Amino acid sequence: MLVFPGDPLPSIPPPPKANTTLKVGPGLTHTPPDNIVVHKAGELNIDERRHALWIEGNGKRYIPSLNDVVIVTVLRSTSDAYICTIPSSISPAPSSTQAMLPHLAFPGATKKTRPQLYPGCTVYARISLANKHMDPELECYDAESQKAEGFGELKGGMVFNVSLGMARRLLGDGKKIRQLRLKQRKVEAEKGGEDLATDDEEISNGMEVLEELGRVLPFEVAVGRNGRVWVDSEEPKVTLCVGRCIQQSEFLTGKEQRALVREALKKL
Amino acid sequence: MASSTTPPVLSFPPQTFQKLSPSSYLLRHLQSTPPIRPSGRSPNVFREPTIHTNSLSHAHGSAVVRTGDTAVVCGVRGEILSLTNGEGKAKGGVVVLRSSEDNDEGFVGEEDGGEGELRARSLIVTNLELGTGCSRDYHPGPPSDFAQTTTSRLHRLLLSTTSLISPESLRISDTHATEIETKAYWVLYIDILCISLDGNILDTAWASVIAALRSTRLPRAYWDADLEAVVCDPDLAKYTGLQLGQLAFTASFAVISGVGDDGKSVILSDPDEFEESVCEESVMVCIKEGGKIARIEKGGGLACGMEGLGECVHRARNRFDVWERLVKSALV
Amino acid sequence: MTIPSTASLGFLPRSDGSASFSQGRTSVIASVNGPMEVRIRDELPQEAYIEVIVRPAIGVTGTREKYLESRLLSALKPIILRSNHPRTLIQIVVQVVQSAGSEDNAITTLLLLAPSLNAAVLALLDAGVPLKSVLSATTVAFLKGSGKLIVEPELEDLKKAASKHVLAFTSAGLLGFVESEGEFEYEDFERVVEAGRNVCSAGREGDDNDTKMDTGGQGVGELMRKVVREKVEKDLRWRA
Repeated sequence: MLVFPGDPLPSIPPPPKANTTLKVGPGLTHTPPDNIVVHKAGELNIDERRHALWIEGNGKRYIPSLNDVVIVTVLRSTSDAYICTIPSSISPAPSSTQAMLPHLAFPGATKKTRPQLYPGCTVYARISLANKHMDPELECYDAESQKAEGFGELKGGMVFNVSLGMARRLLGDGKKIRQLRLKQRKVEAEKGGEDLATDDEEISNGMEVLEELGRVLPFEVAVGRNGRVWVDSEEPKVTLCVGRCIQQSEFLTGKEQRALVREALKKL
Repeated sequence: MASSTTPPVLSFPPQTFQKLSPSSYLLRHLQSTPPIRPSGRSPNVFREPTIHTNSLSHAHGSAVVRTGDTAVVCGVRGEILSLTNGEGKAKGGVVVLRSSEDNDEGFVGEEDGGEGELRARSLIVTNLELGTGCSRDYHPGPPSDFAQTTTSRLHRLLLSTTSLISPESLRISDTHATEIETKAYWVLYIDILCISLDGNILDTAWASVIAALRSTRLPRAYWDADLEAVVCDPDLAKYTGLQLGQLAFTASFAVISGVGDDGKSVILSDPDEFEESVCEESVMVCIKEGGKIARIEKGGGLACGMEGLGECVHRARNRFDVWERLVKSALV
Repeated sequence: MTIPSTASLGFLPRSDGSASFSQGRTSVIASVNGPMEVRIRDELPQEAYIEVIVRPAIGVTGTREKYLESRLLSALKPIILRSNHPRTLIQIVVQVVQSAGSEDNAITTLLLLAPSLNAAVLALLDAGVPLKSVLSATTVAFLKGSGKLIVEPELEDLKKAASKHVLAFTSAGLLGFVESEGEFEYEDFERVVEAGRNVCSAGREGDDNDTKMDTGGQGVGELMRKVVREKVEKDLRWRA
């Protein structure tokens, strides 16, 4: 269902269990006590099981949000932190958000053992503080395990720009939506008294391109929610091929993405 | 340490409250019965204006208008634009405009009240300047966006909304020729200086323009065919006033919502600087002689609907009478 | 013969949001960037600073553009949820591509207002700037004598009109912006507002068919919804 700013929301289904708080996602603003307003144009999604609703849309400008993984660039170092810039999809962005990455925000880092980063370094980090009134802060370790888990400097490789929606899909958000869709279809089919005719393959999870490429080519990839994709492999040819395929898959369905990859691999 | 005393109650004087939370300060005032504004006025009360005319000796016409703490001086000066010197549209040649019926693409003629001719030749030049230190927000330097916008609004009111000045009254022609030819024009420089700014500059500035134009007396000018130049008659007795169209006056309003529990909005007539800074929504209504509406502007919010606009028009009509009486009595 | 209004979305790759809108012979492009870093001088501690820049089709910015900027700002400011992004700048640039007439007078300026406002709102939607509601604007001419209303008039219609009105409404039909000029009675104004509301508010039931005819069967509000819907559908095409 497509909604516009200021549109009235449809009635929200009651929570599956009592005491479940309603989760209000992007595109919606909650004003106490119980007024929820749409502030973005996009598709309204309601997840009944998790009792959550959000608006799915696409954008180019990244706004930092807690626990998002992002690909940032180091600008300079101060006495206790690196000042980084969080770029958005547009490159070079007219004006990007600046963020602080403390020197000690690396797994097991001390004053002496901290990794040395230089201006221009690409870093894969997690947002540890996001607040509209403050500049965001970054960390290079997993919140639960306190280990690196892939965070840290991204050496070599190339960075590609994609839209924010594409970046979210590549991180697997599409799968969640796909499951939601499947469930909705099932409910609808049951209502209509028919069997579910469509098979699972038909609904894309939005990242077939990566799955297909990964089956054949050896490469490393890191996706930042700020619309940046870092790709590295042994051969620059492969890196470029992967990056291009990802960029071209923006508006393609699952089937088309597979076809695109097959074509690209032939040329390679 | 005896701590039996009650903890100190946080209290501060109204001025501090006003600085800390300007919008709730205004809302509290309006929530009292009867609603009253921080300035002591009721929501529908305008400030009492005063007008003095011809206080500038070197201008052809001038007026000082004051409403509350907003005061402006307006001076009108006429200068002659000769068409024969090649400053006109056709370089070096004489541009002849017999009447406004003769319209080429550039001139739209009577339909727009001579706006095309006035604009094409820039016969009316308006400029509003904020005097140094006229308000707290004043910054020295080139004219602010606010000053430029106000100038543009006044210019628009003069040229297209009210058509106060007809191009005929500014033409200087060769009276002896068989065919009347326009040889030159009077160009009116209307300069407005804001001495003190306490909100609602438009109403005051516009009233000062009207009063200054009504007080303007230009010397008799004619084309001398022998001299091939425009000659002005120095005889003071032969100075004539401008032929002005229908009077029109503006009334500005600020709208604030969320006054009552039901989010009712209140329309404040003639807002002062503090009210303007708090209220985002504003309405301006320009009323012509006979109670007709010449212009409505509204922006900045959604609180004021048709009902509110109707109320504004009603108040603006009353305000028109006040200004009309004042302007007419100032220039007997 | 009226030229139907057209709009398109998201075609400038280097800005966060972009849109074009043309109504009659007037055509504008708007681009939106932000929320981004703000100049210290303009920084507001509690809300985003909104900047509107109007660039003329020919020549440099003058008082006419400053005037348009102030009018657009007054219409756009209240619909943007500024408190969501304090200490930032949201910049809206409106580039006039084509103006209805060559003369620089009140009528051509008036004709620029509605398309500029519509383009700016579409660009804000494209950029995903949080909005409270969607405004759509239209121009209405009130003819002398006959009292006939022309929605989205041409330059020639406006020259003959007794009064000209630019009105903007939210999709719920709330009046958000008025710029009316001419000589009219309040009763006439009420009729004009009703006609404007019919074309501007989208998806409202009981729409007046007469006024809809004038705009080629599609109101501005609906046109704007249509282009945004197409854009969202394209973005979500991968799911199909």
